[in-house]
This record gives sequence, structure tokens and C-alpha cells, in this order.
Amino acid sequence: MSLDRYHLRLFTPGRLVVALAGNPNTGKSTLFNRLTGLRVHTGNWPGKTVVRNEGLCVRGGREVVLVDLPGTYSLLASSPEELIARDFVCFGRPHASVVVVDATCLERNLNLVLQMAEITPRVVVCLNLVDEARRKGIQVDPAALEEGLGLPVVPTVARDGAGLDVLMERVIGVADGRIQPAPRIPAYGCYLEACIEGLSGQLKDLVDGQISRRWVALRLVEGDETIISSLAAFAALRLPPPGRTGETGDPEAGG
Amino acid sequence: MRRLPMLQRAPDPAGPDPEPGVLRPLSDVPVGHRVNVESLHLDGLLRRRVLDLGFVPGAVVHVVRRSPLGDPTAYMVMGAVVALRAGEAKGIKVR
Amino acid sequence: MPLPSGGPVSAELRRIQESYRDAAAGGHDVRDHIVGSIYRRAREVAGRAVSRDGSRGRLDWERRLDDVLTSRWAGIPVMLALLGVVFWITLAGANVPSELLGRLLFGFQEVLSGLFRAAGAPAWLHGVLVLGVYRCVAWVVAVMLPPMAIFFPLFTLLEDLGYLPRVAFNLDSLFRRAGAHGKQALTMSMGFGCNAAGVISCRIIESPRERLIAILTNTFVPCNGRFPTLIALAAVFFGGAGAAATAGTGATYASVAATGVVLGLIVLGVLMTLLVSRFLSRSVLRGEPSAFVLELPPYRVPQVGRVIVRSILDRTLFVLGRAVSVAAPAGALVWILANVTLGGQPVLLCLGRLLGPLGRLMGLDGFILTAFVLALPANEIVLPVLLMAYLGVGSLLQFEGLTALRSVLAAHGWTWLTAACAMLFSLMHFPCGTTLLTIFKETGSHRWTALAALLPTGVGVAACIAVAGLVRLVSHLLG
Repeated sequence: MSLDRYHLRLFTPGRLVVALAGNPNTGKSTLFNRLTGLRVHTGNWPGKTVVRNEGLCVRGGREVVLVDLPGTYSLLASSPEELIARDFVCFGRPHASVVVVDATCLERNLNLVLQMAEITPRVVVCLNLVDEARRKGIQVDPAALEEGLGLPVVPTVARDGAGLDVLMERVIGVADGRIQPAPRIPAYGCYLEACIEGLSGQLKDLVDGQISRRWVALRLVEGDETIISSLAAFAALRLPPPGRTGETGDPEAGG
Repeated sequence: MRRLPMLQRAPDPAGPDPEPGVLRPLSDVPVGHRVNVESLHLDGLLRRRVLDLGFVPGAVVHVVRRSPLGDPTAYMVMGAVVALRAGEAKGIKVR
Repeated sequence: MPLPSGGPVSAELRRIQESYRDAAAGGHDVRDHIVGSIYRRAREVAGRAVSRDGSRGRLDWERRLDDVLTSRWAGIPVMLALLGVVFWITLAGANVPSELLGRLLFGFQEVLSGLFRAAGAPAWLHGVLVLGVYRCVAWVVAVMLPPMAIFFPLFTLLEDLGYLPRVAFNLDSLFRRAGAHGKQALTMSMGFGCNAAGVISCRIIESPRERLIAILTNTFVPCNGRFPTLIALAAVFFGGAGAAATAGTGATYASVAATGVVLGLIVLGVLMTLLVSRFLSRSVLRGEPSAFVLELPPYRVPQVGRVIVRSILDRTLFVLGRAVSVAAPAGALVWILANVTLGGQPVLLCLGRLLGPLGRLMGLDGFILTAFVLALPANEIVLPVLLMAYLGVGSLLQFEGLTALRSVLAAHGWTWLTAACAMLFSLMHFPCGTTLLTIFKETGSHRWTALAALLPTGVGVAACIAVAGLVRLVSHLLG
């Protein structure tokens, strides 16, 4: 699945593309601004009146195009913003994705993280607003979080710029394939799991191996209407051969 | 692997303990009370929104305040404050 | 391995989905189950990673702040005061920069004229380009840029602070009863800065029906482009400015009365927004009120420096862009209309006479209406075009002061009633060109854009006719 459909202005071959997701009010914009400075292009997502910010971030000699996804509470496609975010991560196949979470209300923010991890394992969790959490008497243990999620977790204070270097380092590591997260995604109980298994089998010839069949199966069982049109739209494209940076060749993501 | 002990939760200065198991709509709960979400009697987009924001069965909701004009009401759930109109809160059954 | 193209894929997927739909006993329960499982997992993970100590100091501070800002008694007055302060800073703070910018740009015009003369350019070319295009652009920039460069950073600061959702929280009840959404309070507030920006901000309203209501009524609040006109007229006719030897151009309130009048207009604008919203939600845009689910984020200290810089850059570019794209052709058109004659009279004056009957019915005159029509591209040029018509001059005039303004208007038959109707119409007429374009882009529909133009105009015309008629009737009855 190619990025061409999204017409990213700042993307050139050799640059990494990283999606930036997160709930509203988590300091995602602050993070984006901090990482990209003035090298930002503002436009719209193709065919929608939703704003899209792209920015160029250069760290350690690598050029990264950050794509700011609309702030969403989930990826279950109930609104245009959620649809955009979900389709970009699933079909646009950025080299890595960052989910910005608010340390002061972690439980709710993990909803989005877990949903992201079901789509793709190339996720880095940015644990933002740790300073605010500390002020409110909340302490989050990044190591425990990392273990619980199976994803890299980097604590940051975006407004001060703290932790951003480590964050980009881990992100580039994931994008290159040097770091291979093994997300621990939820299991859904025997009956649903059996349905998913059966469905996945039927999807083998219809869904490109680079998309998580388990995730598609889940959406179909759930009754999501949009997944079919999105798949149809993207399935019409010719596939580029694998061989992007760090592509290990393992098509089955998650599950 | 290192595991953090769960520190004792400090008593919430925000309000009294939940009342003993009376099932009622969230809109009927007075300001200052804390309740548990039992079930959702909402549909479609509203249902998903409300779930996304943390009003899942088992979650603790604290009624923070009402708007100066009486509606909507601000609720604290899963660490964040969310405002709902009475019409919507009516569909959330709590205990 | 090439995949089958769109059509067959979706058909096949649909078939698969159907076969599982019955098995999974309906999407509703499955979705709940999925969401529930995700949250259960989230709770597990968070439970192991998060711990609390007893300190809740910061939380209490924020809660106490909210207790004031959204409280029963202080909530709304504080909100009005805060918004009032923002307007005050914008209007008062924009005075001097507007004047300086005006002097700078009009000064440069002399240089341009010199260049044209030196190049031996024909008079009409000089007229169109310098007296028409450049002058209009200069006017719009000088009037618009300083207030916008102040209002939008202030507004963005409030937004970053986290205060704006509280505004929606406080006022939702009003808007719900008008059949609209609480977030319309926010888009309306944005409209005070610029209607086009206000229309774009309507994206925060999810429901298409309520978003459309917010878009269609956004023009009922006066934007930065209309304030100078309103303030000048209020100062002259209700504040006695220019009667004595008061110097100074621009937006200085001549007295408490003038301030009161402008505030009254703002209140009227808000009232009309609510009334028209209600009307729309009962007629063309009927439907159920959508969900109001709003997160009230914690207060955060905004990064003042960054916000101001970013906001000013964005705003500056926007105004300059607009000035060039919209005001430039408008300037050319106005100059042409004022200098091309039709049967011995400049077309501008012919138009004025043509609109005379309607104008008089509305308590105005034909020239005032012409000025409003020609100011479609940019509300700022209403008074300059009007003065141009009155004085029979071939190019936009900058009024030198309220004294001069008063004398010109008085000499052309203006009374307090004329001023009142002019202000009413300024408040309620078709949105400016940029706003209409923005509305079209946001709605994608010619029909709604047309309604957006006709609705406020209709209301404005009706209001003027009503007020003028009433006042005339009363004064007739009284002798």
C-alpha cells in the first residue's frame, strides 16, 4: 500500500514517514510543533475539510516527515476524523506511529493505544504531561507500562522539550526495524476469537498480506461499514514490492 | 520484571462514598456524589462517543458540577472531566 | 500478487460480513464486547503502571478556578467580562497601529503615483491601479491587520489555556433551546474576529445540521471589519463626536452613549443569532438535537511567546492574502464605476439613484445601499465608498476625522435614524466575499451559500424597514 494516495508534500524517497496520533488535549500539537519547528506544511486530507499538518523533523541525520493525525478518542471510525486516522495508519502504512498519551488520565488514553497496536505493531507510546501528573500526585512507571503493552514507552514533557530526543531515537529505531515491538493486544473470548479465525482464513485472497487480517476480521464482525469501502478503495491499487527501510518481510502484523 | 506496589488510594476529598446500590440514571445523581456505571441505554454515535470517553460498565463517575444555566453537567470519569446534557446522561444507568 | 480491483473485493467482503453477522448476533453487542475487552485490558495495564500518592494540591487549585469560572452566579458574568476585555484590547490596541499603517501605506501611494507619472502612464491606468486597486488594498490592510493581529492571538491563548470549552459549557443551554449546539457559542465568538474564520471554526460541531446552522448565522455578529464603521457612526450620531473640536480618527468612543449603542448592537447580534438559529432548526434545518459530549480539559499555562508568534504569522498572511485577492479587484471595480460615465453621470451615482427608493424605505438612501453592495468583497470599505459617492470624488477617501465625517454625512441628509438603520444593516446583511467563498468551500453547496447571503440580508432589510417605518409613524403622530 503506498503513500502516494495521500500526496504528502514533504515526503521524498529516503525520508521516513511517522504518524502522530493521540486523544485531544494530550499536548500532541505541542509535541508536533516542538519536533518540527517552522518546517510545516498545512493542507487538508484528500477530499475532506479536515486540516492536515505535515512537518519535517531532522534527528541524528535522519529526515522524518511527521504527519499529524486528527485528535481522536478511538479508531472505530464513528467520525470523519477517526476514519482518516485509521485509514492512514492501516493503508498509508507509515514507517512508524507515535501515540501521545496523557499521563494524568492514562487508562482512557490506553484505549487508543491498544486499538493502534491491533492495526500495526510499529507503535511508540509517548507518555506526555508527566510533569502535570507529578503535580497531581500521579506516578506512571514507564517500564511497567512497556511490559504491559509490549510497546516502547518514552516519558516526555513536550512543552519543555524533555524526552524528545529519546522519543525520536526509539521512533527511528522502530521505523528502521531495529526495534520490533511485540504488542500485547486484547483477546476477545473464545466465541469471538473463533469467528475471527474463520474470517481471517477467508480474507487471505482479498486482503493484502501487509494488513492485519485479524484486525480486518474484527471490523467485519463488529459490523463496521466503512472498512469495506476503505479496503475496496485501497485494494484497487497496485502493490509496491516489499523493500522499504527495515521491512523484515513478515506480512502478518499482530494476531 | 519489576512490579510497582499499588499505593493506598488517598481518600477522595471530592465527595461522599457511593450510595448503596440504587440503580438510577446518571442525570438523577446530585452534585458531589460518586457512582459506578452499570449499563448504557444509548444507541449509535452517542453510545460510541460516551464509551470512548470512559463511561464503560464498571467505571467510577464523580458528578462535579452543573452549568450556570442548569445543563449540561460536568462528570469526572477515568481521570478526565466530561460534560453531558441531561438527555444523554439519562441513558447511563449507574449505581 | 495483484489483488482484484474494488468492485469484486467489496462484494466478496460484504458476503463474508453477512455470513458472520447472524453468527455474531448483531453488531451492537459485538462492538460493546470489543470495547469492553479493550477497556478491561487498559485497566489492567494502567493498574500495574500507575500509582498515586496523597498530594492533590494542584487538583484543588484547578477545581477552585472552575468553581468560579463555571459557577452559578459568577460563571456567566466573568465570561462576559473576559470576552469584553478581549474586545476592548483589540479595538483600543488597534487604533494607533491602524493609523500608522494607514499613513505609511497612503504615503507610499504618492511614491507610486510619482512612478506612474515618470513612466508616462495614461491617467486611466494610474486610476485603476493606484487609485483603485492599491488604495483599496491599503485601506483594507490598514483597517484589518492590527485588530486581527491582536484578536486572534488573544483568542488562541484562551483556547490553549483550556478556557473555551467552559464557554460552551456555560452557554449550551441557550443554544440547545434554539435548536443548536453549545459549541456554536465558540464559533460565534470567533466570528467577532472574522466571520470567515468563524465559519471555518464550525468544523468543531460534528452534526452536519447544527454545523450548518452555525455557519448560516455566523454573520449576525459584527466582525473586525465592521466594528470601525459601527463605532464611527455611533460616536458621531449618538456620542456627539465631531460636534465640538474633537480630533483623532478611528475607533475612539466619544461618550458613554456611543459605547452603549455598540454594546447594544452586539447584544442584538447575539440575540438574532439565537432567534435565527431557532427559526432554521424549525424550518429548513429541522432535526433532533445531536449529542453534546464535551471534554473540559485541565487548565494549562499556554506558551505565550509561541502562540503569539504563530498566530500573528498566520493572521498576517491571511489578511494580506485576502487583501490582495479580494480587495484588489474590488478596488479596481469601484474606481471604474466612479469614473466611467453613463449618460453624463458616473455609473456609481446612477446606481445610487437606482437604489434610491429601496434605500429610503429602509431609512437610508440609494448611495448608502450602493456602498454596502460594493463593499461585498470587504466590509471595511463601506464608509470610504459612501464618502466617494457623496463627494463625487473619483477615488476612495479616507475620512480625516469624525468632524469631517459628521459634516459630510449631515450635509447629505443623515439623521440619527439614518445612522441607526445603517448600523442595523451593517449588522445584518450578506456576509463578505471571503466569508461566502469560505462557506461554499465548507458546505460544497451553492444552495446553502445562496441562503447564507439572502437570509441575513432579508432580515436586515426587514428590520430597517420596520424601524424606519415605526420611527416615522411615531414622529408623524407626535406632530
